[in-house]
Amino acid sequence: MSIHRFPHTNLYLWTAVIATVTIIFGLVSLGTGLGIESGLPVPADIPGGCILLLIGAILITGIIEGRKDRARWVQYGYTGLLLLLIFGVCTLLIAGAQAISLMIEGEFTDMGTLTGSGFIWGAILAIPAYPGIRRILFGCSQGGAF
Amino acid sequence: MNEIRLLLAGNPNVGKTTLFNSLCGVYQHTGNYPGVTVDIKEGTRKSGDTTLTICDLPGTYSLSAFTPDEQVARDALLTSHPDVVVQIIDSTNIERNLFLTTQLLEIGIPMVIALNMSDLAEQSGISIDADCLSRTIGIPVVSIVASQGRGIEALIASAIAVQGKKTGTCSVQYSQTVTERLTGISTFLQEHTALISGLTPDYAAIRLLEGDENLAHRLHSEDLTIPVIDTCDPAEIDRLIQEIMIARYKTAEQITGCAVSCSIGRVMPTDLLDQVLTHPWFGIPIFLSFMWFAFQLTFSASVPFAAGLEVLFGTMSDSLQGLGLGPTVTSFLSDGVIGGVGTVFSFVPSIFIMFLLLSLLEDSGYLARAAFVMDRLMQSIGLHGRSFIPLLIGFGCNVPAIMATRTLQSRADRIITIISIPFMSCAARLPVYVLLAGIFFGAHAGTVIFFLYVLGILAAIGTALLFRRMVFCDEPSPFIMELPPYRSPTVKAAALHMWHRGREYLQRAGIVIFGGVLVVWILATLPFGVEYGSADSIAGILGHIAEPLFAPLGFTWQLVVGLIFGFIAKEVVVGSLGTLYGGEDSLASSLAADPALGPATALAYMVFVLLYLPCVATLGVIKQEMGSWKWTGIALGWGILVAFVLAFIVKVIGTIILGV
Repeated sequence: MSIHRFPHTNLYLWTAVIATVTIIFGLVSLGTGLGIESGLPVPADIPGGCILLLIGAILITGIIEGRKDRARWVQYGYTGLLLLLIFGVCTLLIAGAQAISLMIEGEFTDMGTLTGSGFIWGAILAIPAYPGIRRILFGCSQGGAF
Repeated sequence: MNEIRLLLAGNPNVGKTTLFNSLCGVYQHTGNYPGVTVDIKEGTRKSGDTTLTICDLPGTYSLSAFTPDEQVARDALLTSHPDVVVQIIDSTNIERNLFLTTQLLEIGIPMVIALNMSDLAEQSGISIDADCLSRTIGIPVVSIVASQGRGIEALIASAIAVQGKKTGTCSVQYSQTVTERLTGISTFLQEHTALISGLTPDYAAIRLLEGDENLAHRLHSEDLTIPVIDTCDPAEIDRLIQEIMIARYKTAEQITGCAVSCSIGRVMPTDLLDQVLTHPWFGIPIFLSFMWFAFQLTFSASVPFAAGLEVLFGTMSDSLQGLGLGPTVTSFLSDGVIGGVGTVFSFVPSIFIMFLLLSLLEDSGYLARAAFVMDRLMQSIGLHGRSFIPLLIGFGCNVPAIMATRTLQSRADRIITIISIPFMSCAARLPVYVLLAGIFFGAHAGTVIFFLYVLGILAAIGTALLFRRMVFCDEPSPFIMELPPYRSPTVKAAALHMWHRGREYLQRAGIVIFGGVLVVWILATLPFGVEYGSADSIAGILGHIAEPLFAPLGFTWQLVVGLIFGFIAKEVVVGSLGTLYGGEDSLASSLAADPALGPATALAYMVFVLLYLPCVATLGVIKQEMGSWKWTGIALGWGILVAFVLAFIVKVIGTIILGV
């Protein structure tokens, strides 16, 4: 299987969309954490914002290098999506545990932090792209275009 | 009844301990990185009327041992006279593993080869003809998958069958010069067989030529002149050693060539992922991201469990009041046992969750990459990159971490790493952070805990830098580490690791913490007649005596008593606080209500607990591994100094930003 052929272009463009969304969420989380009001329902989270920017940078590196060598896009894209999925699941678990704690204490549970989390949206966007890019990665590694 | 003594030997990280666990039905900690086993583990297994005593040796690449753990493996193979040696070979990297095979064959012990991870080899497109391999080398070869228990019975049957038989028809073809020199030494040794510890003269000759100092010393102590060794120019001996190594590699290559075939140009996903995960720019931030999420999850996920346990212990404490057991017994059970031990147990879920997450990272093979990406940073500051593995083990417990420094070759690297390890935050310190960060930092508790762990790493790195520059003014030895393939971690295996590590913690909790808390309760009760846990009790007097020392840090006398008893084990810190702050309110409420305590003091206290004295057990292992009271004292004093200075800085800056 060659990764240079169509229809990988769709996946390539989708990775660019995910990278853009991740970076926007990262910047807003970081900005809100530093006290800059954005008006968006994104929770203030300085370390989380930095991690989103890191993942965005990984995906962007793949997209830029992938213009000359699609194999690089597969490597960086797969790793970036995998990180988004892992951290998305972690965010879900953290939010779930926090909700249970609040319920035990009889306090109001606000799920806004969950729906505004860049990790959750990043992971949701990564779900349709992950199987495709994984198939290309493993296909290439079995004696393909690499 | 037939009894067989069987040694499991092989390169590091080929699955020796996994096979040992499968064979003996026991649990020894395994890891997807080299250096997990640093001493010999022994177990037994029965097969028909045969009892096998199985020894798991530390991994070694050759019998020319360089590090203390390799020496243990070499000595067991050469001097313990086993009945059978099973060499475990990583099927995905067979040629490099066969270098050790060529050495083991020369010893002349009955031997079997276990081709482990044969499933991974198949996936990688590597095809191994086990029968051909067996015929070429002249010993039984069995394909196994140790993690799934596949091929274990066939391996045992082969080991029993070769016992007492001569195996190994394949020999290394040395050059004529090497053969002549070896013959010369061997002929000489035939007259002195009593001095070569049961080795054959031919093999002892090779050992001598390869620089076996113990053997040479034994012969020299009898005033003997060893031909070649004592008569040749050292440069010529170096050349001969090189020729021996080349011949061995050539033999390994020939064996591989006839029994192994693999698809050309195949690149594994592991290699592709490594280019990103070990990237010079992305590598360390990715590692820190994993750590941050691990501690966020540890804190958040443990809170509901801890809250439930707190309610349970609170109810138990309340119900004790109505039993009419008398004030002393009620106080002992309520303030001592439930207030102390119960408080510590409330934090057990966080420890279990952290062990689970670390196991998942470890089993996936990612932790080995963490060592790799940290190497660049660590080399630049004077610490051996391989030191990061013991430092990572230190997150669980400092005791095995210090023992893991046996994988380091240079004594300077070992001393520097041992002094640095106590700064790595072990699981026992986690309850202190979860308690205080939860009370004083609310939603940011996870981030505070993450930064404490990072501070521990930075303190370890700073210590290494200082000692390397000021005390050991040499360059760290080069770091070569084999990166294991990525494997999907299974929840079952990770849960098993978590359970075994957590159980160790619980056992300590049952013995050490109970004892420590009991002592604190007695000191808080005596002399009779004073109010429990008051300033007039012995604990109060002790705390007040030491309190001025900690006045710059703003610690209350109760916190000081916690620190004093934390020397027994770090878990006792929270236990002591639970006992001394015991009352009608929960420990968290009592601490939150103490006007002397605020975020800055709590943070300074957490920093002090992170960095000060290691526990008694760690100190004992430091003495054992360093073999010197001087270095043990330096490790102890350095920890207190760093803890005090950093806690003071945190207190001053924290007071400016956060208040008390």
